[in-house]
Amino acid sequence: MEKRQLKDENISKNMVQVQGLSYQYPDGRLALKDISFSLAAGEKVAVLGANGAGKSTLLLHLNGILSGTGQVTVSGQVLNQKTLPQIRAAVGMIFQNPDDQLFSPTVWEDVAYGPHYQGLARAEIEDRVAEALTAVHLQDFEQRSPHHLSGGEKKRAAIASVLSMRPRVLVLDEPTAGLDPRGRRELLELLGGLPQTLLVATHDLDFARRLATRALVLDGGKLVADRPLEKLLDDEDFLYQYGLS
Amino acid sequence: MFFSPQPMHIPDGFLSVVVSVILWIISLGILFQAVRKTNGTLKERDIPLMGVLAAAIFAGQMLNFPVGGGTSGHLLGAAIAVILLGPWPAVLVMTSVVAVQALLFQDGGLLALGGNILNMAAAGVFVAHFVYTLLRRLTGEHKWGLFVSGFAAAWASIFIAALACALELALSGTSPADVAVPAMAAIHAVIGIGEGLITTGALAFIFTARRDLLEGNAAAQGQKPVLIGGALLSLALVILSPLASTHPDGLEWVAEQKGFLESARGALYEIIPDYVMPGISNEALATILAGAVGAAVVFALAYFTARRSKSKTA
Amino acid sequence: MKGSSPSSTLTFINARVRLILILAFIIGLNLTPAGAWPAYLLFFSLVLSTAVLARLKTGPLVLKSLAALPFSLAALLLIFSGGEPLLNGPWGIRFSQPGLVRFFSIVIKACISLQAALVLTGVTPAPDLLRALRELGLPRVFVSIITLMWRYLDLLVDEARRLLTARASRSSHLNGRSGGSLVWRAQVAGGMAGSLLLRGMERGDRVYAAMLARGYNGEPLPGAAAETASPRQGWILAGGLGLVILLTIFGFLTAARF
Repeated sequence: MEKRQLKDENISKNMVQVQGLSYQYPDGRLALKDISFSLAAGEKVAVLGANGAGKSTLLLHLNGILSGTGQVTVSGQVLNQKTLPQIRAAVGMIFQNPDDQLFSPTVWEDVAYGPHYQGLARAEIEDRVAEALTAVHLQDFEQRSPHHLSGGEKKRAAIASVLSMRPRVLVLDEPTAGLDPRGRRELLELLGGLPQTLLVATHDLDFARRLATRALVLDGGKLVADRPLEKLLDDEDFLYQYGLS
Repeated sequence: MFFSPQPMHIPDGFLSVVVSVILWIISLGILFQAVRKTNGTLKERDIPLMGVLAAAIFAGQMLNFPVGGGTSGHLLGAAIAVILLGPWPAVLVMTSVVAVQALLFQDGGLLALGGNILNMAAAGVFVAHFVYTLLRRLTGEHKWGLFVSGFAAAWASIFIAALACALELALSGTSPADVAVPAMAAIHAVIGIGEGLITTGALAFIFTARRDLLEGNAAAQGQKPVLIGGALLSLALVILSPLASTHPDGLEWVAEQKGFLESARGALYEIIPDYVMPGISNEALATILAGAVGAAVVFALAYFTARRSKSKTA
Repeated sequence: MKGSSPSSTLTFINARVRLILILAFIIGLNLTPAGAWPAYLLFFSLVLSTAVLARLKTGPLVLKSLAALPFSLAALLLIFSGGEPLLNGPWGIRFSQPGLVRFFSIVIKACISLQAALVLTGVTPAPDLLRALRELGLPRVFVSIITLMWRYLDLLVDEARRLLTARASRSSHLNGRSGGSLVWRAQVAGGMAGSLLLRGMERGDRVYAAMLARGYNGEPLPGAAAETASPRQGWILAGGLGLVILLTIFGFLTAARF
């Protein structure tokens, strides 16, 4: 089991830093056990693990939806009640089912939700929406109903609804679930081209290989590996042991 | 528990047994009618739809929006149910929601369930149906007609259900009518706004996503017995409420029924001119109630006018 | 939460009989006049004993029954307006004695009624309850709707939770202000409700097809084996009703004395 050693002088250079994170369900089960890692700005990292290993739970700690013991630092700010709003704006989370994120009559309004909630001026909101939609190649979809979009388009609309908040970090939970090959390909191109720091939880090893350079592997709530992705994917025994293949 | 107790689900103990039993009898009558009416028109495939929709309304009551001061607004759903399904299926769906809330989540009592069904699943639905149908007809082709009608229907469903609830509490001697009625009316006049806003939000979403669900079903056409029932119910409750307010002790009021009809007629004539109801101390509330009565009378007039003109052109 | 597993001690009582007895209990309790404190005590001990027999935890039971308390605001004014005689309280406030008696009677009855309902659901899982209602005459259409609603409730509540989480993830107010206007927030909540409703309705079609494929015919989904009506159940029913009637009569007698 390898673990990156965290040195104090690295702290200010890292975009995201998680130290000693543990989380206990109300019924007492430990979902996360003492997890520590850090992400440098612009890094693209995959979170791998079998179902129930704790991937989604870990992700939900990064924007404060869940809070366990330990410390989460984003862009130099420690996550707590006071800094929650800033960190929510800095960490954009995209969930597995885009339908959970699209609830407005038009795509425009969904993408505008974040900036609107932040209290930005109308002109600013319009700029942000246009910018986000362009980034996901949905410029002409402003007035469409999100309900009518294809799976891939919905996914991109969901991503846009997060991009409009100009996050520094993007966290995605099983982004390729339910996508057809074209949708998957388009998503890969899109995510590969974004400047943000990326943390992607996925079962799709091929997708991970094309997108990410590093992998965090979870098993039973523990971080069992933190390695460059290519090397990991070559280790058949390892993959098998932790339910990744 | 999934959700927090809502202000209109009456627990056991607050309604007298006599009142509860009467309300049960009325509810059962309405439910019997609803089952009869849907037997013919409902296809087998509609049942899963209604079941899932009931679950969605149940879950939808969890969605809230912060109002401020730590409180939040919730959805009741009678209006949206009747707009999507038409009156009788909506009665069945709302009854299922209210009954399961009472039986399995103890939101509302078992003895009081008859009253809760009557208020939320029957009165709420009928009134919403009436208001929605009427306003849609009045606003005609305009796109905004849908949202105005939906808002008004939702608001009315909450407001009238609250009035019914207050009167039932007064009749049981639990709350003096001259406080229960204005209090419930005032609180729910505000909550009704939230219900109206949420309903229009839902309608907006559905309008762009599945416009077909909002047209071409029984809701738009309006079913006469339900419409008339809804109209009469609204009128009756809105007129009864201020009258009950002048008699603090609900039990005494029942004993005074002999004089009731005379005072009802008198009250009708006195209402409109000054926009203030006699006998009520709270001026603002009296205005609200007077406005509601006025609106109800206008609705009724408009409806009958529309009906007459329709039969002329038919 | 969803109808806990049945206890072993009280399952010898038919679900239908349980339902009728609990309802009779609640009716009897609510019929007893205000101020019949000894009778209330007896009703309470009856509920508690039943809970103990059913191996339900009484502490949480009583605590949960306090959920009726917030509604008691509706009856609060009775304290002042209940009529003569008037008692003098602190700060010159005058309480009405009958009003106080009625108020506390209402609150006590509300809590005990709630406890009875909790015992019923603690001992009877939802499918059994539904079957009992069906056997008592609930129309088939309700059984179908409720069965499906129940089945999909978990799913839709999960969806509602995910909608709420996704919304929270995008709700960051910077600079202290914002959150958008109240109207806007209500519209957003409405959009979420609309999305839930729509997905529910579209799911309904798929559900129907799947159930048909598995032989669905509109009757309740099989739960525990159907219970037969036996003379023994009749005795239990009669006994239970008799007990409730006795307690209610006792209530009338004791109220007269206070």
